[in-house]
Amino acid sequence: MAMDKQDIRTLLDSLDVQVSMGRIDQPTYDALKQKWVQQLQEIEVSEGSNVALERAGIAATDTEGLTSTTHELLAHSSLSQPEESAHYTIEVLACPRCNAPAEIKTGGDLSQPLKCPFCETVYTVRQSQDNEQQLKKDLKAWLDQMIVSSGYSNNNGVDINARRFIFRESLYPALKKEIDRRLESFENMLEAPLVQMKETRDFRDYRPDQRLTMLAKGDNQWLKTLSTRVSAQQLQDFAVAQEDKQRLRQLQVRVLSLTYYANIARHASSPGAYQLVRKNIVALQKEYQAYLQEVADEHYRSYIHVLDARTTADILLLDLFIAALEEGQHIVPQALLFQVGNVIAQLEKAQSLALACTYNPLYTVPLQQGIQKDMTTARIFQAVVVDYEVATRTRAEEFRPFYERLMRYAHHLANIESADHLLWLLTSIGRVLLARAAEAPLPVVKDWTWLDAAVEGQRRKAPGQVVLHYHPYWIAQMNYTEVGGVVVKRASARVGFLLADASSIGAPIIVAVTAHDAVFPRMEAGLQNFQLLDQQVVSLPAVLPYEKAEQAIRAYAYAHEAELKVLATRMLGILYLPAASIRYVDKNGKRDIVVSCLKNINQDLAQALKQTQEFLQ
Amino acid sequence: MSKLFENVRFAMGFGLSGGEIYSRAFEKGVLMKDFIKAADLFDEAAKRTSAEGSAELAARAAANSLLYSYLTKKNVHLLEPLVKALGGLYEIERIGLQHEMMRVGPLCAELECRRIEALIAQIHDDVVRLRDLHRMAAGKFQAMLQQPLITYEYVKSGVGHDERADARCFYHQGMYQFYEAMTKKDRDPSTAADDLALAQQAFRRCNDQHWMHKATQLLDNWRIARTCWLCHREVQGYELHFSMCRATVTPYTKHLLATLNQDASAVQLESMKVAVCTPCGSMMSFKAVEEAEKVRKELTAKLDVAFSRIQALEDRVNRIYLNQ
Repeated sequence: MAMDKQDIRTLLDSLDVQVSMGRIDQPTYDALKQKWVQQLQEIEVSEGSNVALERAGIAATDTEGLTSTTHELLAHSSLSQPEESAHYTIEVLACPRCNAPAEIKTGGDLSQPLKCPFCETVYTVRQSQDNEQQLKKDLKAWLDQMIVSSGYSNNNGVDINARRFIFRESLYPALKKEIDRRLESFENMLEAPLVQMKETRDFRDYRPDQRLTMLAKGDNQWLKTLSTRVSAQQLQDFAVAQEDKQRLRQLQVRVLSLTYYANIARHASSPGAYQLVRKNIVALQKEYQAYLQEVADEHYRSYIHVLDARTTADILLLDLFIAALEEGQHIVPQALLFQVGNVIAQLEKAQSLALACTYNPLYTVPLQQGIQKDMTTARIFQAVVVDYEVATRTRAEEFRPFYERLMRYAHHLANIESADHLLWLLTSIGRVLLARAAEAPLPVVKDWTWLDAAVEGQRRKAPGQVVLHYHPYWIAQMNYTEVGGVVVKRASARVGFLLADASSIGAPIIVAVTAHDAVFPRMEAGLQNFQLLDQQVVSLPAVLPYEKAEQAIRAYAYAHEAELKVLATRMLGILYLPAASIRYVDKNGKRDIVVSCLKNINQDLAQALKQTQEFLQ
Repeated sequence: MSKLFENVRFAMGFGLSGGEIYSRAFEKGVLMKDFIKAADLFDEAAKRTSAEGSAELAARAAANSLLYSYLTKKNVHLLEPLVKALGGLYEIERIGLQHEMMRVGPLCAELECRRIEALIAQIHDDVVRLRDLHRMAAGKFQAMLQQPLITYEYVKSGVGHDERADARCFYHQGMYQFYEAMTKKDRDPSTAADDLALAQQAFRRCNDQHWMHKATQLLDNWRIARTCWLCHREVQGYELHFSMCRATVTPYTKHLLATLNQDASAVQLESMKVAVCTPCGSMMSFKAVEEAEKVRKELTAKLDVAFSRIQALEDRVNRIYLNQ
């Protein structure tokens, strides 16, 4: 039937061409045109005049493209409206709140309320139909206005060339403009993480966009209107050329994906909503994968490919979260580690695709940032699993209680400022655990020869209890100029170290160690000698993140420019130095002093040492 | 004795070989943060090593000389010879250091960008040329999006965004879209507004508040469409293709538009203004000028007649006085 219609349309077009070239006269043209138009109308009437497929990718004349659920809906609709048995109304219903397409199970009772799988709104088919009816009215008014403004009285009898003209000159520009303008405010939606943990969602750059969440909550009439317009069959009839079809499809993908991103943003911060987020990401993935087959432009294709790769990795990550954090029983840490490793590999693949993507950086850079955030979330989870794996070697513990205990400990250690900071803290805890478990050695100085002198250093006080610990420092190589010579001044480049006390984040203590300092060889040796940490000595995790340490070290080098003549600094990593907390007793009472082989050390360690001891027990 | 002599010789710079002068350029210049001296010593080292037949060191010395000259003098004319000099090398010492090397590829790519930026700085009014150069610069920075910037720490761009290549890329992309909008505004304000939207997006990404504010302001204006009070055509672009002109308007005027189902926003009751498109407005202005000119000419002619009559009367009065 679709072929018949198409044949007639082609014939009508050919008549247009023949009359314009003078091959047939006007009366013949009129007569033939009337005849064929009439025949076309008859076919359309027999098909049902209100055939309207309201979703992208489903052609009205191609019923093979319909899902079984839609067929079901068609059957039910016709049964429930016997007076209209000759006129089928095919509708793909949408959720009246979030506007995502409805999923109706085969054989489902349409009189029962439906639950939107993407936002969990419960609604009836009637509600959805009412909503669609209103949107269709708006669509008709808009289409009429656009066609009339193009110089045609109505849709009927508009030939193929005219349809192409109307689409290119009027419908598409108007629709694109409106979509561009509306979506302009959501240009950064890809920058947001698609997968969140309870611990990350309050960080400034991880917080969901309020405008997106409002969209998902139902403040989205414009989105519904645009969605109806862009996927209307009536509009698709005007996209005659393949190129036009592709342009329209691009708009459809942009509008539909916004619906899913809005749902993700809304539910990313809800506890226990991983299933819901997953469904939206799966829908996005389907959309991207289908669209990928249609995109011809290689730059844009590479961009869609990245979007698809990201969703693939995020679905895997969500599966892990659902298993470990929502269900959370019988977790085998080694298996979990393997799976999270796979997820990170997938995310890294997506990121490398994003970095190689040749599409406009205005779109690829936010996407890279979004993938990076997903990767950070995955790595936080990986760090938790690593810690869990080490902890459960000596003591059996369920995953979720361990998770809660670990997070409490991390929050006791520092005021966590960002997801990267949390990741660093958990990684640092993991490193200490692994080094204590005799698995992964760390750069550590184990020279305690300075301790006796340090303990006796304060002669007026009586030393009491001495508690040893390994103290973390960020260490940076410092290239500095040493000016020598008495008569003739000569500059030489030297290498020393700058160390930042990593046990606190607020204004870290920086210590410079030049090539002439006595501790310099110990530092050098410590960096070379990776050793395990003693079980009986507490080792503090490094709280200070890399960026802050680097910043503090640079600021120190700048402030001591005249004295040190620093040429360059290069961060090397964390070095553990021996330190001790000594309780002195004098006439004023007890006082704890922390000492190490360096001149300055953080004195406010009592809580951190206590919490660490408790966590390690 | 000989060591002391060696030290004095090196310190005074007597009889140094090309290699020694090259080392001296670091010790007396680079490491002492005296880049001007470093450039001079590298230049001397280049000449000496070249004469000695050490082509590789000569090439590196020449490149270093030009590099440190550029870093201190900030002379954009040095960029071309510098890129050329670097072209023959694989790696060069990191700026400010003696023993750490860096590959010249990223440095050359950055200097190429700086050449385009230098051209941009020379152009002031040529919107099309500015657009093309900004587009070119954005493209070049896009290719090095992940690389750290090398020379911007020493030679600031003057427009900010000296820390990261992606920020520079977005700045140039924003400027390109901005000038693209300028080239289109008189033909198609709607498309020009779309370009401004992209410019705004790019400026937001590089956090350029000044240009973002400018683009936003223009965008807000250019997206406004009003029906001209005179010709009743819908015109897009406030302060571009239409303006609001002073008029005596009343609530009745507004009511009249509402009754006729016409664009009520064409009237602003609070400020007593009506929308007038640029052709109508300018036509009125020109007509007013023409009319004023016509009146001026008529009055001038009348005044001329009057003056000549006064002159004639004065002459007559004078003659009467003389005859008396």
